[in-house]
Amino acid sequence: MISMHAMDACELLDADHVAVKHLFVDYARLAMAAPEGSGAERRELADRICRELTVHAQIEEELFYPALQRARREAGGLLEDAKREHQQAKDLVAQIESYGDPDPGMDALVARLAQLIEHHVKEERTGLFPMARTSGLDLSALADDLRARQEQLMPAAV
Amino acid sequence: MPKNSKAPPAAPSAAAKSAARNTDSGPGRVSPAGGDLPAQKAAQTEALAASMPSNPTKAAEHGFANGVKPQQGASSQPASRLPTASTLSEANESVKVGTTAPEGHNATIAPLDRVRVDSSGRVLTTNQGVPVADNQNSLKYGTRGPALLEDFILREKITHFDHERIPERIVHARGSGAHGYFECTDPLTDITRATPFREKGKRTPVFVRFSTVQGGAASKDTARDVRGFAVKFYTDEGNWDLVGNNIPVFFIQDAMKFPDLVHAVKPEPHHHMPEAASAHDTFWDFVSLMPESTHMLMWVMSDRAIPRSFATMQGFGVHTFRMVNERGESVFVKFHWSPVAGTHSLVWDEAVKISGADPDYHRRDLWERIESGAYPEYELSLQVFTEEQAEQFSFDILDATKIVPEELVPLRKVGRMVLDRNPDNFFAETEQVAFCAAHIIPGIDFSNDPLLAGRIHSYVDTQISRLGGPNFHEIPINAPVAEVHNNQRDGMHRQAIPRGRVSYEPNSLAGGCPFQAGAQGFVSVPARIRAEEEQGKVRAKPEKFADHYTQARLFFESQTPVEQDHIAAAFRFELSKVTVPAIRERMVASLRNASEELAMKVAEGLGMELPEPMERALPDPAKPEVDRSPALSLMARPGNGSIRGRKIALLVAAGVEAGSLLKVQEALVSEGAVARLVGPRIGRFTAADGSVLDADASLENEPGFLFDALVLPDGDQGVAALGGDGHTMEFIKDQYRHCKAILALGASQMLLARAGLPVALDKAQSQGNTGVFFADAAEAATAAVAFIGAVGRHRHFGRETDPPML
Repeated sequence: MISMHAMDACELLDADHVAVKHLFVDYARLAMAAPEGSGAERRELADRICRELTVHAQIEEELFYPALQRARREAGGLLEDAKREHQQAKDLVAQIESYGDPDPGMDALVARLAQLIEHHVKEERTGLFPMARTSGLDLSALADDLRARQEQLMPAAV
Repeated sequence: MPKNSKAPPAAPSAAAKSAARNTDSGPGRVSPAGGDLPAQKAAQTEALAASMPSNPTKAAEHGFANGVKPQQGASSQPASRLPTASTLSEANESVKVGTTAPEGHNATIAPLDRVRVDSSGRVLTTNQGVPVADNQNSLKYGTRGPALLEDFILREKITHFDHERIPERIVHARGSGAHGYFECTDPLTDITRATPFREKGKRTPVFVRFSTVQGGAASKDTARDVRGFAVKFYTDEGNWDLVGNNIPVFFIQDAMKFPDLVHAVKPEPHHHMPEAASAHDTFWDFVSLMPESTHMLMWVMSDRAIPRSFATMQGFGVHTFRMVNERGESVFVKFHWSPVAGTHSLVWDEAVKISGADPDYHRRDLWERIESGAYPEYELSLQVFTEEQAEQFSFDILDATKIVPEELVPLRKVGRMVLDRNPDNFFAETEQVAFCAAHIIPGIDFSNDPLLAGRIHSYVDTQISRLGGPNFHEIPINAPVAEVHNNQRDGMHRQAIPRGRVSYEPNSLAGGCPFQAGAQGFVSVPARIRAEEEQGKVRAKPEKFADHYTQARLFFESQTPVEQDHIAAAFRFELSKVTVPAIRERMVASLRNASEELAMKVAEGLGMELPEPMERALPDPAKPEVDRSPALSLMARPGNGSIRGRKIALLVAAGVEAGSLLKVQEALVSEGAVARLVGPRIGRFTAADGSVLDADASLENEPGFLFDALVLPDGDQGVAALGGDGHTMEFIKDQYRHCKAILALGASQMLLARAGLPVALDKAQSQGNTGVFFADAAEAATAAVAFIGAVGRHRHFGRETDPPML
């Protein structure tokens, strides 16, 4: 409804960011307003968050980061930071996925993951994306690759 | 009391009459001298005095046991009205003096009707009631001649005008008030004899004043600040003022620091800037040297300091109070007001913009809600705990920088408060109302909180200069509905006319009246001070007061991620306005003790290195009972989801499709929202179908951020017209950035794209819950239902990014 033009690689990745932020917000809202009655809904949201982030991290690491590294050597430091944050996120994702029924302990894990992702996204938006946009990379072709890989991974992760 | 029946032997009547007519000496025996009134008065006065040969309760003034069970004072009944009258001539009536005072009644407590003024059908007069023939011209010698000194009409008018202002409050100067009632739903007789809590269904009139703290009386409503939440209960046992805030803790622990705090936060004294803001050097200099303020800072940097409405914020009594039952047993309590509409706040960018377009935003909102019948309503609940429980807590309940977590002591519902009447006159009511922390009633008592102790003094004291003297209790809005009788006399602006000559107690000349109430009156709780060591006079705090960070951390850790982001952003903003880097660094160093994560975020946002943590006053505080309290999050109180009182903009221009838009408007209005047509200008526009839409607001006079939600119309020509107006884009941008619900009908989709809605919203949009809706005009009715649900959810923070994408 909104896309008036095709998304480039940065926008495609950012769409994941915006979408998963909505899931985090929904989760937090339920955890606060209806801690007793929303267990199943929160479990479902948490699983979806984990799935989305797993695929998102993978396509970034497989395609976006290497492409950016090739195009802009000085991106190395930022990319190292980004990968370290991915690893922290993966650890949290693993803990959340293996957590039983949602309770305040799990809410805290999801909140920590949300904070970590918020920080990571901010770094990408303010650091990596401007670099990518001025790197000469064909971001529209890269978007096609990212989308294809995403579609490939998504059903498998479900 | 039996009347003195032993009549003195009759003196010759003429002598008795004569003696009774003097005010400067009297005879050895008093005789009633038949029907002679002065003599009768003298005789009855003598009898009344004689009926009280001694002060029977004198002995009971002594000893601790008597002190906690005071006796009622002695009184005796005069034989008639004569002895207690000021004057025999009170029998002579006129339209001015009226009749005689009804016995045992203070007429100044009558409802406000006694002072209401309505001028319908009346001619203009001077303050002396003299009709004014000409209110256009001063009196001159000839039409071109000099003005004349004798023009008492001009002089009265100008003189009064010259003295219209009174000093504004030093803090809480900016306020808005409303009348209403408190209704008891769950009586509290087990723990208190306080009259408002005695029976289910009992209603007590209240007057409430909401306020900011820092700014002056004419400053903006949406400043980042604590909100005062002061409730005056006009109970049948006197006025009880619960002078609270919308935040349950405070910056300081002892009233000794109150002037320092206020001087630090107020506009800086050399240039008087900034107004209505804490983002300046002196405030942060002070609080960063006062680590006990950290907990309060968390609250003030949270969205609680920028409420959407007075009707969507909590209120708290702040201090620990006591409640006392009929048997004299006391427990500790904390007071909580919870809004039925839920806790909802603004976002900072929005608050800043509103302060420009509508500095009266909260005042207007309160007024309009009441005017339209969407009465603000709050539940009153208490946390009740014993002294023994309090001793076990990891924190000190006398410390105003600490809460009692609801997980530790749950809330007990007591009643509800409804604000259902606007004042008739701002000055007479909202400005002249005098709240005093000292005003409590039987059944309620103070704790030893040292900040409360200072407040008990300060509020009464400050009213004396603000309201011009010690008789501010007689200003109509401050007068109780309970009988007021004492021997306080005179002073500036005295209104009461006490009858009789007695203004002291004990007395026999007024039959002992007014006499002390004894145990039925207010009896302070004989609280013993428990301490392990022997105590003496000392200026020091208890040890637990030194734990400055545990509850600051509890608050931060209990917020949702979005709320935490807002707190970090607020610290970033405020500290970025500080001009001295050392102050900024000191504050971040202190924050590290509360939350590393927060300190890191703030440091990053300020482009600075993380400083070493500040040394703590108590390196090893007690382990807290709870480390997470969801009740501290605004999200924990979504409210009833109603959109009553919400303001929604429906954009119109010539050529919009009227049918679908009006359908949505109708749906919104039927849910109690205010759905305004907003056009490029106000006034009438011809819609695509030839019908006329009359806009009552314009894109220019009511910018987008003043609305809770936005509806964009269908209709190609109308959409094209709106698209050509830059205001429309700002309207949409702000609605989007502030995460409000947006409904775009038909062709107006294009406006969203044009305003620059990020394409990255696309995926979230297909996922749902973004609060952005697209619908064909034909589906307007169904779309309205989803849209109303989204407005009820207040904000859609999934959209929020820092910095904003749009």
